[in-house]
Amino acid sequence: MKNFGPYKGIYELEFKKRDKRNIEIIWGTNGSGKTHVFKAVKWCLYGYDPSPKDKEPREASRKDAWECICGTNKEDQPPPDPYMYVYIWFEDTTRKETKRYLLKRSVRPRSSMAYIVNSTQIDIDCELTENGKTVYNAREKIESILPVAASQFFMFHGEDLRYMSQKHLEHTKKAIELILEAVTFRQGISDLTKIAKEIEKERDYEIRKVGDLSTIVKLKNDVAQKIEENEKDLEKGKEELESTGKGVVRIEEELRSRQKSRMTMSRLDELRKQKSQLEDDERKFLLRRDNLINQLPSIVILPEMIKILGKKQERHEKREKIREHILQLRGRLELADEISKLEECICGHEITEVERRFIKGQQMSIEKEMKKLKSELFEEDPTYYQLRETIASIKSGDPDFETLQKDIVDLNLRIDELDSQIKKVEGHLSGIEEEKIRELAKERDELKKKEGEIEERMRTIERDKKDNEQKKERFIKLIKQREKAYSISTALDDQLDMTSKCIEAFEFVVARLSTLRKEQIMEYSTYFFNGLTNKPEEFEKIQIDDDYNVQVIDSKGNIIYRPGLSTGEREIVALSFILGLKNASEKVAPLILDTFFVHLDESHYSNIIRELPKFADQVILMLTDLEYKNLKERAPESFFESVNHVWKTNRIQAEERSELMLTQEVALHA
Amino acid sequence: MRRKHARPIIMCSTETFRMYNALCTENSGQKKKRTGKREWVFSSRTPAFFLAAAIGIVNDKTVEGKKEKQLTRREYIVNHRCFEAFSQLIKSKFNLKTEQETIDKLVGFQEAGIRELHDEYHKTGKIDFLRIYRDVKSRL
Repeated sequence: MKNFGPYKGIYELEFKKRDKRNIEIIWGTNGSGKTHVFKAVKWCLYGYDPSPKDKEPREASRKDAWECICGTNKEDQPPPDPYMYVYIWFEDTTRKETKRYLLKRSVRPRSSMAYIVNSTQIDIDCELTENGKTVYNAREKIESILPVAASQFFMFHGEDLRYMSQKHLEHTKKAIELILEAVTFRQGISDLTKIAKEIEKERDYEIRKVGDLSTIVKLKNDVAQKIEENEKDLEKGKEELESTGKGVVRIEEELRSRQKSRMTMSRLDELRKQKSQLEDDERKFLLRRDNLINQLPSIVILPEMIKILGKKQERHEKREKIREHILQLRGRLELADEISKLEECICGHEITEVERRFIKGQQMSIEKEMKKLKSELFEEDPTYYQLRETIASIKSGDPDFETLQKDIVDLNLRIDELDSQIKKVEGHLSGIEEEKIRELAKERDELKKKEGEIEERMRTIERDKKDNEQKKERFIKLIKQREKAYSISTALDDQLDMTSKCIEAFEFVVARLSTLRKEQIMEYSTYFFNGLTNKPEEFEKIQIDDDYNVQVIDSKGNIIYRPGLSTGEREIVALSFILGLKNASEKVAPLILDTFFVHLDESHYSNIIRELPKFADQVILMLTDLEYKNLKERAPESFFESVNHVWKTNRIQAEERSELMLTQEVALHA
Repeated sequence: MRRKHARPIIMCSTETFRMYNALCTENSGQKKKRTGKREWVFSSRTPAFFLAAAIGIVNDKTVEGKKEKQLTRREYIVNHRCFEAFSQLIKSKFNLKTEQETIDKLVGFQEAGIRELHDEYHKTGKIDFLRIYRDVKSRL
């Protein structure tokens, strides 16, 4: 690995199994970087650090890589060297042919970036080769070798173990389902249920369409019957039309034989029409005459009115004369007043006393005369003007009696003339002949009218027939569609049945698998538990009940619940359960255990040490310096015979980095 | 005693009433146009009333007497197009003030005028409006 977490520069760790040595140890003080080695493996495999606390497996993100590259640095400080990678070489020996894999996961800054300050500025590459050949879908391949779900049973921290020991129920269920890959089944069931619902919906839709098929058939039959009726009506109409046509021809022939009389009749009709028009005109003239008679009284009294107006006018003129005289005197008086106020004359001479007295005398005489005239002035007659206007309006509306009288006389003459002509024509045409012709003509007109009505009725029937035929065609089309829908709904019914059966099969498989796996997990767990517990004679087995409770059964067959177990015992139960799950998953991978010896007592500790090489093909232990010291003191010589490499992690505080090195113990025990 | 309100109906003598019946279609009880030589002259009593009054004024003749028949409604007379001219003439000529006085005077004149019209109708079977018109024109 290069620049992973606190490790600056390149470090290479080899965990290759040799002979029986299948245990690797990495130890160091707290914060020296043990867990980062563990994290590096998980990051390289999955791109993030999966944990049993995760509810669902998730997608790897740049943020996860950014956390790895920053290590113990604060996030806002950019890493000095932005290039990071972890390579893992591993072999798959479970198959006939051993396959060699190289998995590379690396981080580099984006091409355009000079330096990086956050996770958005990095690119992540992942490459997997199988026997030297690139695998295009690396993620899927890794998932097939060691699924994310199962990795939790191969690589776990002491904290995870304690977490599992405290809270079984939900996580037990989840863990078992992970092993069973029940999620896939459940997804399958959910998908199938969705499909079933859709099919059901579609089938219901088709059934609804089919629902009123009988009604449509009935409607179609009704329409067919109507068409038949229309055809009958048309035939009947044709017959009627033929007979009416014959009647018309017969009457026409008869009328033709009376051609001369007919011509006379038409002349007579014309004359009568003219007479009726003239009579209309006469009525109009009479209305005009009434209007003129209404005006006549005003005209008759017009000379009297003019006479009265003449008298009024004389009086009016006399009054006007007096008024004019008064106005003239007023002008003279005003002039005298003006002159009396002047000092000298217009010509420049001074006005003498004699002259002033003369002016005064004049003024007095004018005033006297004015007084006399005013006493003579009488009031204006208000009716004078009204009368004048009325006379003017009567004159303007003078009726044209002469013309009207002449028109009326002319009209009467014309009417008389027409009367004599009519009488003459009537004399030529005998009354009986006229009556016969009129009857024939009337009969012919009625027959023609009837003919027109029959034709109109036939046209309506034709239209009805056409409409009905179109309706019939539509119904036939609809019936075909409904029949198709019926067959579709039947097919959909079959599909729905099949889907339901599939769902049932899936549920059965899940239930069956669950039972089988549960038994398998119980068996493996019990095997590990018997090897690890310090009271093998007291406990008989580990059991998982229907509600996924992990319980311990004692030798008497009693269930011992979690509160009845000590912390160390609970951890042993949890470890056994995890190891049971690991074995049940049928995957092969190294087991990585990170600081999980904390709560164990002497006997449990030695049991684990004894059983540790059997836990998996390859076991990688992460130990604190104290745990490592304990191990060296307490572990039997045989344990160290299984140890392959011992690595020590060191924290160089001054340089803010960690380092990894092979310790001398390797030489001692190797 | 002086009446407070104008009378709504114009009254006339029985003789006058008969003459009007002879000359007008109104109240004749016959809807159809009369056949034969003699025909209705006036379409209603109102134009006959005014023409009779005009002839009475021109001839300066009035007939006084007992008025016991209902001739026409006052509103028909007052709202006729000729009434304004007649009112002005009567008021000016006889120095009258009120409308009722004017109508009373008109009734007196029409009593005389209708007799002349009826005489002519009785003798000739028609009323020669054109002659009346021409007479007036010659006097103007």
